[in-house]
Amino acid sequence: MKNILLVMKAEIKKQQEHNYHSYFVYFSLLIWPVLGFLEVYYTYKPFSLTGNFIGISSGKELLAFLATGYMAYNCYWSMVQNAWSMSYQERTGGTLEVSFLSPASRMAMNYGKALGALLQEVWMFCCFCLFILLYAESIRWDNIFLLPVIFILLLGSSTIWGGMMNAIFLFSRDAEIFMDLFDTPMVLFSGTRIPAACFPVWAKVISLLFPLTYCLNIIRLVLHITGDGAGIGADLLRLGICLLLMVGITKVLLRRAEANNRKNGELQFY
Amino acid sequence: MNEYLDKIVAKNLVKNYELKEKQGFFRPKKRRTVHAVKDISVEIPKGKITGLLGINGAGKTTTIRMLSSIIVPTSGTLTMDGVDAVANHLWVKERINVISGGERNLYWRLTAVENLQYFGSLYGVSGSVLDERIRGLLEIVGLTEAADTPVERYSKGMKQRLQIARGLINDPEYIFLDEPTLGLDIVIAKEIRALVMELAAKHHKGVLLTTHYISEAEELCDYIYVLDKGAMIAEGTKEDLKDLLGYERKVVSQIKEPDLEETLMYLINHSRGEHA
Repeated sequence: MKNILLVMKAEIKKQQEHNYHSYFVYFSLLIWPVLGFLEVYYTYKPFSLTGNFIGISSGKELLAFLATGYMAYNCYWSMVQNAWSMSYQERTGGTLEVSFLSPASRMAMNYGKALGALLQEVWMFCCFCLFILLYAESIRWDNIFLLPVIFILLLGSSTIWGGMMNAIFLFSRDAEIFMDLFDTPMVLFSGTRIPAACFPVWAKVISLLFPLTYCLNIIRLVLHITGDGAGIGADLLRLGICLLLMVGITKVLLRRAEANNRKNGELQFY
Repeated sequence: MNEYLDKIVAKNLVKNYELKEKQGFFRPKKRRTVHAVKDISVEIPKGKITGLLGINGAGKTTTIRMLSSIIVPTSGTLTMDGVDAVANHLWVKERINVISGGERNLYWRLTAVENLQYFGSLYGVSGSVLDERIRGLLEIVGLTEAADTPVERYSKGMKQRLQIARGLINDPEYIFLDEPTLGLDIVIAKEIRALVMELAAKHHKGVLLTTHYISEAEELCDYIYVLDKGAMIAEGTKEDLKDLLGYERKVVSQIKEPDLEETLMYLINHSRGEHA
C-alpha cells in the first residue's frame, strides 16, 4: 500500500512539474470552459423560463443546471484529453517504456496519471462553477456540508474513468477515435446541457452507457436542481456498478497492453 | 542449480516478430515474420562486463530487450540468479535497469533531481534514502551543479550522464547498457567507460554492454559475443577472438597481430560467406 501511494504521489507531482509550468496553461483551462458554459447559457436565455422548460423554471435554476453539467463534464472530458496527450508525449519521449521497465504497480501509475491531471486541469473551472452554484442558491449555508460529498464523487468517478481512458490509449497509439467518441456524444447523451429525462427512449438507452449520466443525476438530485432527491439510490447503485466495471476493464486492458508490449515491443513505437 | 546463481543465463533465445504490412486501402494486410534473433545463448555474470558486438541491425537491441525482460523471447529459456526471468518479470525488474544511448527516456521539462525523484519512486525508493542516492549519483555523473536545471537545457553529454544516473537509481544488480556512448565526445565517453568499469569491478554488478565502438569493447569487456543478422557468430575473450583471425593470418601471410575491429569485420564477412 505504501508503494502504491508513493507511485501515485510521484505521478501527480510529475504531471504538475511537466505540464503545468506556465500561468497561461491555467488561464486556458478556465477561459475556454467558461466560454462554452456562457455559450449554452445565452442560447437558452432568450426562451421563457417562467413555466417549466425541460424541468427548469427560472434563470437561476438554469445557471445551476448548466454549472453542474459543465463542471462534471469538464472533469470527465479532461481525462480523455489527458489520456491522449500523455500517451503521445510519453511514447515520443520514450518514458512510457522506461516506466514499464520498473516494477511499480501499473494500476497505481495509471490512476496517479489520471488524478494528477484531474487536480490540475479542473480546479479553476470548478471554483467558477461553485461560485455560480452559490449565486444560484443551489448551495446554501444549510446544505454546504454536501460540497465535500460532491467533490469526492466527482474526483473518484472521474479518476476511475480517467484510468480506463489511460489504459485504452496505452493499448493502442491509434486510439484518437475515442476523442471523437467521447466529445459531442458525452455532452449530449449524459445530460450536460439537456436533462436526460427529456430524451426519446433510444437516446435514454445511449445515455446509460456514460457513467457521467449517473454522476450528474446524483449531483443534481443532491442539490435539488432536478427533483427532490427521490431515486438517488438507484443512480448511486448504477454509478457504483459502472465504476466497478471500469476498474475491472482497466485492469484487463493494462494486463493485455503490457503482455502485448512484451510480445511486440510496441510501447516504444510512436 | 549453483551454475545459475549470480548470473543471467539465456539459452537458445529466439525472437520473431509478426509484422502486418499494408497492401492497399481495401486489401487485407500481408503478414510477414521477421527473425530478429536466432538461437543465441548468453551468460552475464556479476562483477564482469559482457560485451555484445555487432553492426547496425545485428540484433543487439532486441537481445538486450529480451535479457532485460522488456520483451519476451519467442522461445528459449532465460534465468536470473536461477529464477525464471520470463515468468517473474516484475521480480527481475526490481533488480535490473537499462541505460540506452540517445536523448530520449527522460522528462525534458523536469530537472535532473525531479527526474530522479520520479524514477526512484517507481522503484519504491523514497525519503532520505532517495535524496541521499540522488545526491550521490549526481556527483558520480558530474551533474551536481546542473541538478536543478531543466533537462531541455542540457547538452547531449549531460543528458546521457543523467540517463546513467537514472539507470542506477534502483541500485540494480545487473545493468544493461545499450550503446551508452553513442555520439558523445571522447572526454565524456572516457568518463562513462571509467564509470562502467567501476560498476563491475568495485560494485560487483553484472554489466551487459552493446556497442559498435570496437575500442570500447576492447577496453571494457571481459567476454564478448559477436552477433550478425540475429545470429551468434563468435564468442570469447578479446584474446580468443583475436586468435581466431590471428591464427589464419599467420598461416597465410605472417602479417601484424590483428586488432579487434579487424577481427570483427573478418568474423562478419566470414559468417556471410564473403571474402575478408
